[in-house]
Amino acid sequence: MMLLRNLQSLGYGLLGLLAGVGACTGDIGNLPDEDVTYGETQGSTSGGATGLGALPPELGPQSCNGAADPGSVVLHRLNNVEYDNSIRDLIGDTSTPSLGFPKDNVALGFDNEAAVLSVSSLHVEKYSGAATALVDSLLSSNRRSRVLSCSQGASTDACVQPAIAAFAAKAWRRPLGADTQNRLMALYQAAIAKGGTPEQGLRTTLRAILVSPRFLFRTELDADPASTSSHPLDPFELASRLSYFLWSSTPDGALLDAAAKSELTTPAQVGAQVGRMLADPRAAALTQNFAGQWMGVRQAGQANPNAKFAAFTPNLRNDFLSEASTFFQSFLVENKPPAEMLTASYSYINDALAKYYGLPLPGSSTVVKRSLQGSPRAGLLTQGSWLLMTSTAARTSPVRRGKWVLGQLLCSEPPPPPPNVPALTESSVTPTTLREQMQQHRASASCAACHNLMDPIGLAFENFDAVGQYRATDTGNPIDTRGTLPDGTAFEGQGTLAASIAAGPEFDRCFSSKVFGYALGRQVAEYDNCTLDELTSKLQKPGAGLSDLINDIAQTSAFRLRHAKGGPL
Amino acid sequence: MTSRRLSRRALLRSAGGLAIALPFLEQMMPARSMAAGASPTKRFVGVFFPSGFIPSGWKPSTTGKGYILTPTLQPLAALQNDFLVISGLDKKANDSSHHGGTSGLLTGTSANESTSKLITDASRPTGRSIDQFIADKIGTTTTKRSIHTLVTAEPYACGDLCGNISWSDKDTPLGTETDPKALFDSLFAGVPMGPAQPTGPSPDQVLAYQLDKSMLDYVLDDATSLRAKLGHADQQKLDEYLTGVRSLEQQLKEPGSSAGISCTSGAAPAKTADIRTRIKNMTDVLVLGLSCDITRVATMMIGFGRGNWVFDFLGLDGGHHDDYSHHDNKQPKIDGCLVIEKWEMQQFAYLLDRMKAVVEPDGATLLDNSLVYMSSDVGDGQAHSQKDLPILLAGRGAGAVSPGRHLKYAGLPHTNLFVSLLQTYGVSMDKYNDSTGALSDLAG
Repeated sequence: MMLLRNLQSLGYGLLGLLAGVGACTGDIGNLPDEDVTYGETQGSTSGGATGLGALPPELGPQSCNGAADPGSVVLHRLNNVEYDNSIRDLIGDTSTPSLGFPKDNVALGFDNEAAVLSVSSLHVEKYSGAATALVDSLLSSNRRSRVLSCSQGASTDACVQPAIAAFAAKAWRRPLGADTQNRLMALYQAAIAKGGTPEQGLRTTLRAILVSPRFLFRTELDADPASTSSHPLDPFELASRLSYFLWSSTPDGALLDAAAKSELTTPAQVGAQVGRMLADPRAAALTQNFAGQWMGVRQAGQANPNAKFAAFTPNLRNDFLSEASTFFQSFLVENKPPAEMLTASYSYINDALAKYYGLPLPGSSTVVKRSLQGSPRAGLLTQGSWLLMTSTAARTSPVRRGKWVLGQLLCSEPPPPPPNVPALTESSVTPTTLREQMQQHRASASCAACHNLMDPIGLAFENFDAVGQYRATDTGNPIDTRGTLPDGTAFEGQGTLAASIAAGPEFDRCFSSKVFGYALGRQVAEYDNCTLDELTSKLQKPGAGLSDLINDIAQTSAFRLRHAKGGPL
Repeated sequence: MTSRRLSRRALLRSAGGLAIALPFLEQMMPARSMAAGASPTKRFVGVFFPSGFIPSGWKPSTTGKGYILTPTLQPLAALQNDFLVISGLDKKANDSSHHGGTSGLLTGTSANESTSKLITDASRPTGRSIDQFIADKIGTTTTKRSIHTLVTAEPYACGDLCGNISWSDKDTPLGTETDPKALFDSLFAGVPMGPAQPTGPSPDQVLAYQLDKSMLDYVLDDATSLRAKLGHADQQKLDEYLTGVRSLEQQLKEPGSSAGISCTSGAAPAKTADIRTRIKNMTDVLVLGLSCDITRVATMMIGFGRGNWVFDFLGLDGGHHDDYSHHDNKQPKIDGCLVIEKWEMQQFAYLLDRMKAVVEPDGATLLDNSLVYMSSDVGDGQAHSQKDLPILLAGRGAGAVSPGRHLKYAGLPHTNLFVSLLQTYGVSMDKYNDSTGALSDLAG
C-alpha cells in the first residue's frame, strides 16, 4: 500500500537522519546499518541475506534453509511462565511458584529473550525454596504416584532408585548419561549414609533435580564450543525448542519418544508434531504469552482507569481480555491470515461487551463470535483490550497508540525521547482539544521529529475513549480523525489506516519477525533477513494462515540448527 | 518480650515451613549485647524513588547548617540534623531515560558499550554498583552479603533496567524481593527460635543440615561438569547461577557452629495488598535485618523507574507519578506531583526514624553507624533531566559524615560522591566511572 510505504520510507529516512546527528537513539527495527547489539555480531556482516541477494529471485527465498546463519541462542533460563508450566506438566502442581520469583526482564517486547534472562543469587535462593516446597507437597499428596509406586513410609531402594532416574530424565527433558545418573544415585546413597531414610534420600534427590541447571536452563550443546559452524540440534534439544515455543512448557512423553526414535528429522515429522501440539490445550500458551505480549493483553489486564469512567468495571476488563484472547486463538485454530486481525468485521463478545459496544446482545455470558457489520468497530485495534492498554488512566494516549502501531505492526518504533527536553512554555492560546495540545507539543523541533510520525496515527483512534467506548465528541468538541502524514498522504479514521496496514507487505513481515523472535527467544538480526523474506512470502500465499506460519518457523534452519557463539567474549 | 537466640541453619527449606515468632517491629530493639568500647559496625543503604522531584519544591535555597527546609522535605523536619541535602551533582548519562537513570542510580552513568547483552542500548549500567563494592568490604562475614528490595503498586515489571539499582556487573542485576514476608522468611526462616540450646543441636537438625549440604554439593558438582561442555557465553550465564549456589552455601551454617544472633521476638508481617502497609513492613524487615546484623548492605526501591502507579490513596486520580511529573507547567499536575513527592519523603522519614530508634552495641544508633543514600532516576521529571539530581545522604557513617547541612555543588559528577562513599567503607578506589575526584566536605 502506497500510504504505508510512504510512511515507512519517510520514517526510516527521518530516523536515520536523527541517528546521524545523535539526537535520538534506540531500537528502530531492522535497519540496514543498525548495530546489532547482542547475539552474533559477526552474523551482521556475514548473514545469508547479503550473500543471497544476488541470486535469481526464484532461487533466493528457497535457498535460505541450510544456507542462512541460524544464529546462536545463549543458555536459556526458564522464565517464570515456563518454570510454572514445566512444574505443572511435570508433577501436576499448579501452585504457580514463580509468583515469588524476581520478575523476568522484557526485551524487544517479550519475556523469553534468553540473552536478558539473567540469574541472580535471589533467583537461586527462590528456586531452592520452591523445590523444597514442591517436593514436600508432591510426596505427601495423591500426586505422589506420578513419580513413584511405593507409598509413603514404605520407600525402599528398589522402588526409589528407578523413580529418581525416570523423574530426572523427564525433568531434564532428555535421557540421562551414565555419568549423570551415577552422580544422582551417589547423592541418594550419600543421604542414606548420613542417616537418612530412603524417603529422605528421595526427597533430597528430587530437590536437587529441580535446583539443577539441567532443569532450570534449556541447554543446547555444541560438539566444539569454539567453532561457529552450524549443526543440527540434537532431537531432544529440538523437542524442547518446540515445546517451549508452542506450549511455554516441557516436552510431553510423545515428543520425547519421537526424539528418542529420531522421528524429529524430516519436515513432515516436525510438521506432524507441530500440528499435534497446536491441537493440544497447552497451545493456549501461544495466546497467553505471545499474543499476551504482542497484543498487549497482559498490560490491558493491569490497566486501572480512573473512577470517572463509570461504565467501566473490572468485570468488563476481564471481558476485554476474553475477547482479545479468543480472537487471537481463533486465528490459531482456524489458520486465518494474521492480517485479518486488523480488519476482521467480527469479534468475540458476550452480553456485557455487546451492551458496552452498542451491539445486539448475543444472549451469552461467555464470548461468542458475532458480526460487527454496521458498527464503527473492526479488527483488533477497536477492541476494548487494545484501546484500554494504549490509554493512560485518565485519557486516551494518541502517542502510545501511534507508537504501538509503528512498533508492533510495522516494526519501526520511533526511538525514545531525546535527553533534556525542556518544559513547554505556556502558550497564549489555551488548547481545547487533545489534538491542539499535541500540536503545541510538536512545535518543539526535537519532539516533532518523532511525534510527527506517531501522533497522526494515534489520533486516528480518537473516536474510542480511554476505556474503549465509542464517542462522537470529546468533552463537547468534535473529533477530527483526519490525518496528514508528513509526506502529505491524507487519511481519515482508524478504518482506512488499519486496512492500509493489513494490505501492505510490511505487516506480514513484521508479524512474522515477531513470532520468529518469540519462537527462538533471541533478537532478530540482519542475518535473519533471508529467512524472514521466505516466511513472509509463504505467509502471503493465498490460504496461508497463522498455523502455517508457526509450522514454517519450526522448519527454518534458525529453529532446527545452531552454532556456538564461539571465542572469548 | 523475651530475647531469643537465633542459630543459623539452612535457608533452603521452604519459606514458611517453620512457624517462627520474630519481630514485629513496633517495639523491636536488637538485644545484641552492649560492650564498652565496641567498634561500630558500618552499614550502607541505597534508596530509590522514581520520576524525580520538582526542583522548586525540593531544592533548598539556602545552604550550610541551618538551611531552610523546602516543602517537599518538610516530613524530614525532625530529622534535619541527621541528613545532608546534596545538590548540584549530575549523572553524566548518554541518555536520560528512566531506565538509564534507574540502572545508573548506584552505578553512575549509562554508556554505549557494544558488548553488553542488554538490549536497550543506551540505558544500561556501566558495571558493578557501589553497594556491591561496599558489600565486598563489609558484607563478607554476615549471613547475607546484601539484600535488595522493591515495593510497588505497579502490577507488571518494567524490565531489569528500571527494576534494579544493584548490579553485580553491567549485565547482571541482583533482583529484588518484593514481598516483606518473603524477605522476613529469607532472613529468618529455618532458624530455630528459642533460648540458646545448651544441649546442642538435635539429631534432626544435624541431619537436615547434612542433607542440605549434600544437595548443594551435588548441584555444584553437576553444574561444574555441565559447565565444562559449554561455550564461553553459556559459561558466563551458568556462572551467574553458580554464584547463586555458592551464596546459598555461604548461608548454610552447621547447627551449633554459629555464634548466633540475638533479637527480640515478634511475628512475621502478614501479607497485604495495601501498598502503604507493604512499604512500612518492608522498611521494618529491612531495618531488622540490619539491626540483627544478618546483613550490612541493603537497597530499597519504592516503585520502578518511571513511577507507574496511581496514587488514589492521596486523592490523585490523574494518572501515575510519571503522568504528573510530565506536568507541562500545568499547575494542577505540579500540585499533584508535589503531593506525591512529599508522601515519598514521609516514607523516607519512616525508614530513618526506625534506624534512629535502634541502639547499637557501641552506644550509637543504627542510623549513626550507617549511610543512607537516596536519589531518583531523574532530577526534574518534566524534562527527564539528569542534572542537579535530588540527593539525600542520611546518617553519619560512624563518624565519617557530618549531617544537618545543605551542600551545593556546581555540576560535578555524582560519581564524585560515590568515590567518597566507597572510601568511607574502606574501598580503595580513587576513581569510579566518570568521577573527577571525591567530595571533600562531607565530614564537615
